Parts: sequence; structure tokens; C-alpha cells
Amino acid sequence: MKQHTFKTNIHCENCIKGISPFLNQEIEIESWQVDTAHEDKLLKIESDLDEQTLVEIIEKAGFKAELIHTP
Amino acid sequence: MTVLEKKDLFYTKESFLIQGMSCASCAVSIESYLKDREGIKDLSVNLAGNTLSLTYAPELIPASRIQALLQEIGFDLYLEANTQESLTEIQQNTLKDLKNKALWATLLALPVFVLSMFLADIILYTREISWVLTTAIVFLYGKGFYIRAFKKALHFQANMDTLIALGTGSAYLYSVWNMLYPDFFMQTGQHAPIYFESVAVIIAFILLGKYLEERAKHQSGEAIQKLMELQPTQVRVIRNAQELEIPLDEVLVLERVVVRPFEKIPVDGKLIKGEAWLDESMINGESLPILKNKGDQVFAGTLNQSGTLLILAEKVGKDTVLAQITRIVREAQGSKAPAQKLADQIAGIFVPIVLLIAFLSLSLWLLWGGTAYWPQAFLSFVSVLVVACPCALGLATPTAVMVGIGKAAEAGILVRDAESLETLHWADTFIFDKTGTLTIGKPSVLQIYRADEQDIHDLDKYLFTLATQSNHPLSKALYNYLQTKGDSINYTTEDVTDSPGLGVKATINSQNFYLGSEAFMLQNKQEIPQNIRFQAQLWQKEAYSLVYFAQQGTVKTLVALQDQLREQAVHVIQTLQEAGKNIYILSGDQVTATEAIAHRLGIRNYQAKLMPSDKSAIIRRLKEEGHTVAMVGDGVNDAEALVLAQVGVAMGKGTDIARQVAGITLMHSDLGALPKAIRLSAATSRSIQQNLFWAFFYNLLCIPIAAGILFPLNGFLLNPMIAGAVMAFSSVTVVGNSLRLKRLNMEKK
Repeated sequence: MKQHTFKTNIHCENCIKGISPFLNQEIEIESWQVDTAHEDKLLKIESDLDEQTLVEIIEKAGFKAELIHTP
Repeated sequence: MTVLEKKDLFYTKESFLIQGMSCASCAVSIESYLKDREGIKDLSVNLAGNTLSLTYAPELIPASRIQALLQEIGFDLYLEANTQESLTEIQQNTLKDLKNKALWATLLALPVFVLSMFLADIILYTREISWVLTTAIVFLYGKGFYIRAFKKALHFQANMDTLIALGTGSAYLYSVWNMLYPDFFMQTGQHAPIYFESVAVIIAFILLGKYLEERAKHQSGEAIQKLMELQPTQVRVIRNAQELEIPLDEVLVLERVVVRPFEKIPVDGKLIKGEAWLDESMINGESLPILKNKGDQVFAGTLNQSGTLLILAEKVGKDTVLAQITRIVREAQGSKAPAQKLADQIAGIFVPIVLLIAFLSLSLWLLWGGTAYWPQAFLSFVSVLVVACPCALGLATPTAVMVGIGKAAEAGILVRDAESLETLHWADTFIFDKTGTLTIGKPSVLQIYRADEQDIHDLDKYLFTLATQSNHPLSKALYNYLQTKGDSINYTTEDVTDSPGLGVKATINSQNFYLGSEAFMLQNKQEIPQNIRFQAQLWQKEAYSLVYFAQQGTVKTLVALQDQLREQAVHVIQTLQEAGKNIYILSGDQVTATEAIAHRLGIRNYQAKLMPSDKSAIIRRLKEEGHTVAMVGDGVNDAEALVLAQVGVAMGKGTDIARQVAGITLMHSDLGALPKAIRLSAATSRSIQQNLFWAFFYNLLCIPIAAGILFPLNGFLLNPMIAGAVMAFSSVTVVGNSLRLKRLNMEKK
């Protein structure tokens, strides 16, 4: 299981509510968490899916995502 | 449930709990009072459940308006109580309230009775003490009868409350008058009797009877309670990686839910993480737990026997399969059996007739006996009013139906309407679909024939490997069969080609293998030896499905498969035949396959290659010939026939449409439940008939006796106190008789 971290524009509680169904229903995503307190609004996803697929899911929900390569 | 109607009106269907219904004529009067109101499309009152099922347009007639209308005639509606839990809570409170009233009324009536019967001449002031105690009973515990009767009278309606209020009320006022002005009747040379003990005892008895009746009604509704208990009340959801515990009704679709071991699944959905054995017996009847893995479907109400699960909620609340079952059971319990329509009609005119008889008997007594018989005349007036029992009449059918349907649900038989339950045992003709109904609907391996008995084991391993390469139902059956025999070694395959509908080819250890139909073998020039050909001919006559397996250009193995009969099929058909039922198989399948099944079951009437409309035509013809037809089926192609037959029985694992149109569903897809359903149907009908008999018997026998018909013969006159006991007892008898159904042994013949 790999952890992916994205910089996003998920600002608030309502945004989280909006994206929740999209991330929840992807069976290959084991868990996810948004840190709205962080300036980059970090979204961490635990999944075996590749980054491109994950970005597509986030964009389908109407948000922007940019992969951050964590060391 | 919301449906869009013409004129863009929204009609919704809701169930409300009604307060204040005491008898069948209440139910009838509510129905007639609301029936023709604008905005109300359909309604039905269930006395046994105290519920009103309403299809109405809130825009035209809001629920509060309906409540106001009901209050006008002495009832009330619980508007806020739409969930089953709050309904149950209200019912329990009503029951507790009634219990207290009955208890206190009895405790107060007891001294009144003892004083007037045994101590009247021994203790002073017995009359005064009786007066005080009886007044307490009348005003504290019996006031409901008078209030409801008064509200009814304002609308020129009458019900059981009217009879009780009039009977006890006149006895009470008469006694008070005689106490205050004893000279009034004495002057005319008569006694001035006092009937406080009758009033007290009648009210106590009737309250006690009502309590026992309510308690029994409560028990008959337990089936729903059991279904609802399958749902947990609190649920753990994951919101932005936080685990929160929230009430069940706040879970949203597409949320992730955590379920720990030995907890119940709260939603219908998909397993995202974890694996566990689930007990799904409530939903599909499988008695053994089923192993669920990532991606598998799980259902609300099933029990997690191991492992922590993460579940994606796809259907929540009233959309789950469990909620649908609960709704069907509740609606069915409220639906009216044909026998009830007669009882309703009688109940509607019953109270006015009893009032008429009471006044008639009063006048006849005075006419023939003169004023000397005033006490007898008055006593029979009170007795007639009190003994008449519309409630037994009203409870006869619904209580039996409720218990019957609840009992059926416990045995995995889902009954959609009361009429199906009442009709099933009358059916003299049973029509069965073949595939999926009499048979499992999936082929399984019967026998394997080998051209050469050498190297069986190795060859079977190759066979297994090829079977894994195709998704054809026959390959899957072969795969399952070989797996259980332990030949499940999977070789590495090369050059796999799957020709859908024909077969599969693969190369293993540089040998070529073919698995498939005869045509597939011929197409690929695989030689079929003489003994395989001969065996194939024999098996074709038996209508088996055949699969050929070739190694290096020669067919080595021939496999015979057949759709298996359901475990109970032979036994069930035999039971039905012994009971003298006509049995038909109507199948859409090939003639040979249908013939084979019919022979094995000993069924002479069968037809194959039928279109859905052909099945319907046959059912229509049988009905015209005067048969009562029950259709048992599972497929979309059976739906029309299921609707057309007097009773439709669907298999639980069949298609949704079959289950939706059928009056009865065998949830476990176990044919063995069919004889059980028939037995239950017979027992329920018998209960209804016994109940109706008792109700009529009580009234026919007791009203004339109460009126004094025996008096000229032997001087017997029914004491109003006994009349009250008889009246209370009749309702309890009827409800008690229905509850006997609970103990019915459905296995026995």
C-alpha cells in the first residue's frame, strides 16, 4: 500500500463533504485524509492505484490536485 | 414512497397510529368519514395494528387536517410517530396506561361487589360507600368511553363505546336518582333498586378485556419488531479519517462504515476492507455463514461473525433490503383478507341494530309486563347494550392474519397480502416453472466417462486447468466438481483461446488440449472414439448437457452435466400429489430437458418451449375451468403468470420482478417451504372461520338472552355484570384463538 500526497484546493468542511463520496466509493482507496489547516490543503491517500488515476478521481469531484513528491 | 400523479399532485403513502379505536365499527366509521375527502386517494384502517394507511396529497389535505377530522369523531392521530420505534413506544405506553386503568378499576370494583352482594344488610352505609367507589371508577377510569361516545353522537355515529356508555351511564344515573329520591318510584308501588355494583364490575371487566386484547394484539405484531431489531441503532462512520459514532438514520449514502466482530451490518453496501464470515440467514435463508471478501455485497441486518470490516454504504435506511422486507410484512399485516369484508359490513350496521334491539326489548317488557316489570325491563336494556360485542367481530380476521403472516416470516415465507395467505390452501392446481424453481438453475456434473481408464489423475488435472480458463456455466460447474475431488492443481497454460459458446483451447506442457462442445471438437478436427460416441448418444437421450475433452487430437473424456433438482422437489411434488392437487410444469426450456425433469418428478402434465404469454393463456384457461391456480416461478418470464394466477409464489433467489409481483415469496428458495405455507394458509383460514363463528355465536346467543327471551320460559334474566364479563371474554377468546397460530407446527401434515 502506497501513500500519495496531493496539494489540493479542498478548503473547508463543505468541500470535504463534496469530495467524500468520490473517494469513499473507490474500493481501491484504503483510506484518505484532508488537512485543511495546512496551507497546501494536503490530501493523503493510501492506495495501490497510480497517481494519474487518483488525480482523475479528484478532478471528477470538481477539485484540483497536484502530486507532491514526499522524500 | 412518492408518486407523481395527474394534475401534478404528489400523493404519498404513509402509516399513522390511531388512538381511540375500540372496535370494528370504529374502523369502518373512520374509513367512511375520510373516504370521499378531496386529496385522499386510498385508505385502510387496521384495527389489530391500530394503524391507518393513507395515500394522500399533503398539498390538498395536510396530515394535521386529517388529524383534526379524526378528532371531530373522537379519535386521534399520532402525527410525529412515523418511525416504527416511536410507534412501538407509543403502543407500549398505551398498553401500560390501559393496564393501570384496568388494575385500579378492578381493585375499586371488588369492594363494591362484595359490599352489595354479601354485606348489604350487615354493614351500614354500603350504598353510600358503593356510590363513592363507583363514581371514582366511572369518572377516573371509564371516562374515555363516555367522551368518545359523546363525540360520536355529535356526528350521529355510534360504536362500542356508545353501547358501553349508554348501558353503564343509564344504570349509574338511575341508581343515583334512586338514592337521592327513593320515594319517586316507591310512590308508584315499586322498588328503587341500585345497580352501582353492575356499573363498577362492567367497567372493570371491559377495561380488563381491552387490556388483554391490546396485549395480545401487541404480540401479534411482534414479527415486525423482530425484523427491526436486526438493525443496530448506532453506527461508526469514517469522516475525513475520523471515526465517529452516529445514530443509524444519519448515515449518508456513499459513506464508509466500520463494523466490528459480532456486530450487525447497518447498511446495504460493498465490502472495502477486511474479510469476515457473515450470517445472512435473514436475507437469503442460507443457514451457514458466508465468507465475504473485498468487493462483495453485504446487507443490513446480517451478522458479522468475525473480523473488522470497512463497508461502503450504498443503500441506507428505508432503501435497504431489510427495510423492504419489513415494509412488505407491515403492509401485508394491514391488508384485508376477503373474509374481513363481510365482517366489516356487519360491524357497520351492528351497533345501530343493537341499540334498536335494546330499546325494543325495553318497550316490549313494559308493553307486556306493565310498569311492574320496570326493573327487569331496565336490566335487560343494560344487558343487551353491554353484551353486544362488535369488537370480537372486528378482531376475528385481522388478528389471525397478523399472526399468520408473522409466523410465515419466521419460516422464511414472505407474505405480501392477506388474500394470498387466505387463498393458497384453496388452490387445487399448482403450476411450476422448471429452471430455477424445480431445479437449482445451475448445471452440475453428473458423471464423467473416460475413453481409457489410465492416467485418470493426470488427465483430470489438465481438465481442471482448462476449466479455469473459461467463464461458461458448464466450465464453472466442472471446475467446482473437480475442486471438491481434490484435482485442483493448476498448470501453467500457453496459447489460451476461448471461443465463447463453443469451448476453450490451451497448450500445457507442450500438449494441446480442447474442452467444449461436440461441434468445437469437430471444428478443430479432434477425433472422437467409438466408445465416446456411443456414450454420448445414451446421455443425449437423457437430455444431459455434454462436454468433450480432447488431448493431442483425440477426445479422452466425456462429461455429463445436468441442472439439479432442488433438494425438496421430489418430496414436495409427492406431498402435493397425495393431497390431490393437479400439477403442471410450464417451461420455456427445450422439450427433452423438460420431459426429463417431469419424468423424474412423476408429473404427467408438462409443456415446454413456452413463451410468457403461453403460460398466461394456460393459466387463464384453467381459471375459466373453475380451478384455483397457484403459480410458482422465479424468472422475468414468469411474472405475467404470477400476477394472473390467484396466488403467485416466487423463489427468493429469483428475479426482483418475480418477487415484486408474487403474493408470497419463499425467501430461502427452499421448495420445502411451500407445503409449510399451504399448512399455514389452511390454519390461518381455519382460525378466521373459528373467530367469526365465535363472534357471531356470542352475539346471536347472548343478545336474545340479555333481552330476556328465556324469562317467560324459566325466569332467567342475564345479570348485567355477567353480560360485561361475557363481552370482555369474547374479544379475549378471539384474540387468544388467533395467537394459537403461533404454536402451529408447520412441519407436521
